[in-house]
Amino acid sequence: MILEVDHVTKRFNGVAAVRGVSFSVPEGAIFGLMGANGAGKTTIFSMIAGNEQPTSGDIRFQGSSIQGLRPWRISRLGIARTFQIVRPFPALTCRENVALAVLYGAGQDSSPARAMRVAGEILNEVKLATVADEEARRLTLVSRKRLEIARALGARPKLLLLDEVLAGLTPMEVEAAVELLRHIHRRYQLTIVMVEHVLRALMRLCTEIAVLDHGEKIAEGSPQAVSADPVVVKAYFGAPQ
Amino acid sequence: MRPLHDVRIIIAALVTTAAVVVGVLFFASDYFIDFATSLAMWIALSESWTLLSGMTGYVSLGHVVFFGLGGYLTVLTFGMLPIWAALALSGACATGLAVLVGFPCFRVRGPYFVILTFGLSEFVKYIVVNVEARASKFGRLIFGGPDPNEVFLIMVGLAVAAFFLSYFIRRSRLGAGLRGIREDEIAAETTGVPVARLKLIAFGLSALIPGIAGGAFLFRSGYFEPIQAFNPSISFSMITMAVIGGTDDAYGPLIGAVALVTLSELLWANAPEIYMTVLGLLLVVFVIWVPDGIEGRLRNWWKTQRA
Ligand SMILES: Nc1ncnc2c1ncn2[C@@H]1O[C@H](COP(=O)(O)OP(=O)(O)OP(=O)(O)O)[C@@H](O)[C@H]1O
Ligand SMILES: [Mg+2]
Repeated sequence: MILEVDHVTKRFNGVAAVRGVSFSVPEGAIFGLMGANGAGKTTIFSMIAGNEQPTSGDIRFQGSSIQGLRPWRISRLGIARTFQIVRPFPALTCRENVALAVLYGAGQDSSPARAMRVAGEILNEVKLATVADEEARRLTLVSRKRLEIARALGARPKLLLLDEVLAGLTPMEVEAAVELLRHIHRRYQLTIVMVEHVLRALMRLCTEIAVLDHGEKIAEGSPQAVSADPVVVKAYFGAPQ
Repeated sequence: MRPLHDVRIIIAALVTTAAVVVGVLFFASDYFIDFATSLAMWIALSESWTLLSGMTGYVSLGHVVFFGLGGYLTVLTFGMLPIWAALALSGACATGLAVLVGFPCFRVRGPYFVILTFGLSEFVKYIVVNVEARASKFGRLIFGGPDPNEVFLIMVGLAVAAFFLSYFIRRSRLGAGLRGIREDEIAAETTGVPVARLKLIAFGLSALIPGIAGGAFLFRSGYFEPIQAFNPSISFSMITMAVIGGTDDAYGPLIGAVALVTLSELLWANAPEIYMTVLGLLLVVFVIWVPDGIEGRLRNWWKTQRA
């Protein structure tokens, strides 16, 4: 197991956003995390990446606890995340955005010139080559989401956390993005955990899905099993009439 | 990125500086040497300020504290230490102070950091004022320091060092990390940038040359008086020069310092009382309408010309 989330709870001012959630992700998997608005998906990502500290519970990466480590240390161990509300470095070009991750992430490149070259290659992979030298603030939202992925890849992660990178895309854009995710999963030999609202996209990519509701895990299993689970159906579509 | 291009610029800059220095030393009047010394000092100070505030976005309103501290240490050790040792001590202590106060200061961002740095510099000023009053010293005169030509050379050395420190850091791995902090500190840290450490390094480096310059300035003025040596208007001037010139690259503060020192020379001669007012006005105008400074405008213009 590359990632183990072990009975993790997070309270904000006494209100539990995540309650005793556990799941494990095998190396090389594409693992889905599903749940309605406010279910606690982003909070779980923030705790894995070190942006938030769990109130209780433990998180292990490659067997050792990453509890209490600063985000930059976790990044260097090989975990990268995207932000649901994208946070590019606005006044830097796309190339500089990615190069920063190449310099400081798990890859720890020491040469800015080489980092800029590598960044160009990664931007090429995610089809942002044409805007590589545009400032990030000039991009469309769809491109900014791709830039989030490119910057995460620049950090050379083993584990990639994708927070709703498909949300808000048109069906055709989703199609392209799904292909892109398959491609980078293979190309960079990644383990991916992805958060989405909708089951459909997850069904096509994931081998296993965990479902959250109001901070608790209510189901876990293969996409088929999860979509047929009455508990999930109830949480998603309300009680049957 | 373009190393050859860079090397050419560096050589051209050094040759030009050397030629100007030789010219000034051999042909210029005392008045002009004084002006050139002042110009070099302001280049050194605003380049150093940019190293912290331009690169990381943490705006220091208290950089005079390092300048004043350098002056104070140099006057205290005058006659006991060789000049170079006193200046080195000033730079080292300024860096030490920056790293020390960096721990609490960097816990806050935005306006709080600005106010905290300002408060710190005023705090240190009044400590020195009180210590001096207890010792019954109301200003200290020094005799027999380096002559004006030597002070001029020291200041030029500091200006060149400050310029290249900014120039190379801007293009280094460290500089990339600092700009990431400026753009989005949380995203930077999540991407592997050890933000706390980098901010302290930037603060320390940005205090080094102002500390030395404060010591060198003592020999130019010939006396030390805390209210003047720690005068907040020195911080304001550094900032205004940097902002007018541009804070994203080493050329900016250079341009800003040349512009403002020349302007102030003209104003002192004709209308000294409006200097600070003009400074304030320029700062407002540039912050609102030209936030990337003269250098930023030139760079954009250059890009459109070539496109
Ligand atoms: N920093 C915070 N302070 C206080 N409450 C928070 C904070 N972050 C999240 N919450 C609360 O925790 C709960 C879970 O939020 P989270 O963002 O993890 O949900 P999510 O599953 O990602 O939702 P969405 O699908 O809308 O992105 C929400 O009720 C939210 O209001
Ligand atoms: Mg979310």
